[in-house]
Amino acid sequence: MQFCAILRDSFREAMDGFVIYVMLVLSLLFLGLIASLSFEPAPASRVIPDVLLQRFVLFLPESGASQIIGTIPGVRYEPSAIETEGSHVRFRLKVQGTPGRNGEADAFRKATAAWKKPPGKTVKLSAPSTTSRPKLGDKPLSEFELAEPIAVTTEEAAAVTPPMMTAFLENQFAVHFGINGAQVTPVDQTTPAGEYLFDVHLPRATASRGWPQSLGLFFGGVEVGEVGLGQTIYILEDQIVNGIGAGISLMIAVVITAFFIPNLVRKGSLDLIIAKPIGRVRLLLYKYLGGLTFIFLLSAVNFGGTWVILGLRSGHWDPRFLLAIPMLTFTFALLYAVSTLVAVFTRSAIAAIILTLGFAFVLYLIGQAKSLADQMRAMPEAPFHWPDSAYTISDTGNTILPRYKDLDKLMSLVTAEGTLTPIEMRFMTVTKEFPSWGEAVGLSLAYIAVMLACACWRFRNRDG
Amino acid sequence: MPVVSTSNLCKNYGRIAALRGVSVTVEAGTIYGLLGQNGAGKSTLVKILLGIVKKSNGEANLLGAPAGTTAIRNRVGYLPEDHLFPGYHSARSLLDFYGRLYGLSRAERRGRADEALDVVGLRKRMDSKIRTYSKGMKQRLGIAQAFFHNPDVIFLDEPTDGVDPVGRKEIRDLLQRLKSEGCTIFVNSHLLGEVELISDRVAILNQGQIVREGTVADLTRQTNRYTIRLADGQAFPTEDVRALGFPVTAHNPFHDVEIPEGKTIDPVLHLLQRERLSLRHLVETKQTLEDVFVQMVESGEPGTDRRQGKTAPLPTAKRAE
Repeated sequence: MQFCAILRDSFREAMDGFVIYVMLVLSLLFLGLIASLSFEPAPASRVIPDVLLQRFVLFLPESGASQIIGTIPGVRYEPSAIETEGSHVRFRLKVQGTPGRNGEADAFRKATAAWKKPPGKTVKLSAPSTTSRPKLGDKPLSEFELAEPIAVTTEEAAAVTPPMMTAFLENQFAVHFGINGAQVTPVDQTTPAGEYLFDVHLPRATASRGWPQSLGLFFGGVEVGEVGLGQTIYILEDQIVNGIGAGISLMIAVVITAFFIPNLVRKGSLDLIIAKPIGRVRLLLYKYLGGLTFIFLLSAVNFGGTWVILGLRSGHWDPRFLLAIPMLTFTFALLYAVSTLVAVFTRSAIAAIILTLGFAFVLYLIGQAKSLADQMRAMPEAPFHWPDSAYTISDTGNTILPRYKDLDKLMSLVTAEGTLTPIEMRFMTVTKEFPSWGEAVGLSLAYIAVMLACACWRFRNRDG
Repeated sequence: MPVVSTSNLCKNYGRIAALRGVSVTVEAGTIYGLLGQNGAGKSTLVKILLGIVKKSNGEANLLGAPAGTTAIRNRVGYLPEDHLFPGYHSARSLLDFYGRLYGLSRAERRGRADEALDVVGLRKRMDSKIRTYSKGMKQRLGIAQAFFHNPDVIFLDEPTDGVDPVGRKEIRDLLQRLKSEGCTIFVNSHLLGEVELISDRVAILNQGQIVREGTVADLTRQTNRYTIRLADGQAFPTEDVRALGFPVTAHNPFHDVEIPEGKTIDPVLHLLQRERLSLRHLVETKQTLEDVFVQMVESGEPGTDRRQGKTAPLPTAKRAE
């Protein structure tokens, strides 16, 4: 009951200021803006030929499970009789594999056999420094791993059966569109050598992650352009909501909650509460949890609202994005531990705000410096390099300080997994390094524990 | 078992000794007044008992448990001096919050809060934000939050501070009522008249030490002094009275006659009768608590200039203006 009492009190305190109302109004405006987004699927008659032509040259070996991307030379795809029924798309697909020399298997059989195999040797190619894909452009590529044309024996190619071909094609639709459950059926019809006919049924194809959508703002009043549904949602969720939105939320939450502890330990206020039957350590920890509950509720409104509205507007419902709610709360827990420690020692909300934001800024700088250092290390041919001490400082800082930026990176990865197609994910993961959850969360947890322990010790042993 | 007992209690703030060997005992169902100047150590004593401040030395027990025991605070009410209630609460929501900390049920919280606020005269404003309250209203709220959970003992630090005379009377009546219901009340105050009116026992704390302790009657005992006035135009036989062995002090038209140990006023009255003098005023003088207090604490409050109980004269230039 005491915990609930402190939580309610903290909530009441937070709701007392005008800042929270400004924040809620901004949140509502933002959610209104999201609600005004319109998603119009591009016509299947255009998308299917384009995608088949442009994207199906790439595949993921090991039946789609590989981390390396392979290429398919010599295969042509010709869709016909494309029909759309709601979000379902049906068409006939003619696949032409260039016939092999000297009686070897055609290119499509080879491609199917290669798709089944592990990637084998890989080549490292120089990659473009920029790209139009989201998240790919924020870090120049140093190298891009690609499977060398996977060697397929005559026997392996000859062993390819129609069910293997359909499985390969179904996997391609999953890899490039994010359509799980594509139904590819061989057509029982005599065809020339190297030519194959399939009937394809793509359920909920136009609502799939990789399907291009014409994006409009203000209920279609402003045309934004045509982007894959998953990419659009990824940009909105990762860059706008979890990037800019979360940053602003964190800063405002730091300011609002920075007053909680100083108000508690203020002369005249502390005596009243300490005289109640609640221990000091418990009181401080409950107050701390009260601050976390505040940001939890705030992020639940923002992230949950965005998720629901985006789901309603786009038909895309992936719950992984909701992990951003505990993630932001956890990030805030780190900052609020600093704020609590400073507040207990100084009794000053201003000092708590300045030092907490300063701490966050230092962590951000260290994270950025580490990313830059990693990039420069990966480009030995670059004309300019930092002095060795700069690398040491950025590496050491990143090792010993909480992984504030790592948590952000990990959340990006989770968001991407819920929105991007497997092939887009591959592009993303080869261009970025992702830390481990254990390190990122563990180190931050350790910092939180140490700072709270210091704050509790001080609060417990002080007079008044 | 005493509600409060301290023995040789000491508290040092750095090099400053706030309490120097304080020993007090407060019995259940009484009102105990602790008098002292600002900075004498009154608040420190209470804060040690409640665990707000840590003692440096000595013993302190509250309701049979060592001072500062968290669970015991369920049975304690406290109104600190210079209290600061969170302005975002209303009186009702504040008592609801405190009631939750005391572990009261929803029905108990609601019932007792309404009743307590009614008793202190805040019922009509109990849903207004505390930041809109006057100082007196905040003081009334402070008293309500100190007793609404039916504690066994209440510590009140300057309870009538900022309260108008009518309000003070109401508070005094309330304290008497609480006492009659078995509650023990510990009052810290420098308003001597207030304490004198309600306290069963009184202690005077001076510079961290108890200098007098006892019932109000003990402390304001008779001084064996009579004030006499004769009819207009009659001269008081000062020398004759002195000749009888009674010291006399004149402050016209009255004369104070001191009664030496073992004597009574009767010889003086016989003398006046013999001289055919007409008596118009004869009162046995008693000490007030203020007299006792000023006698015991003849110095400026700690941290201020020592003035021996006198006010420094105003600057001449100002008076001339």
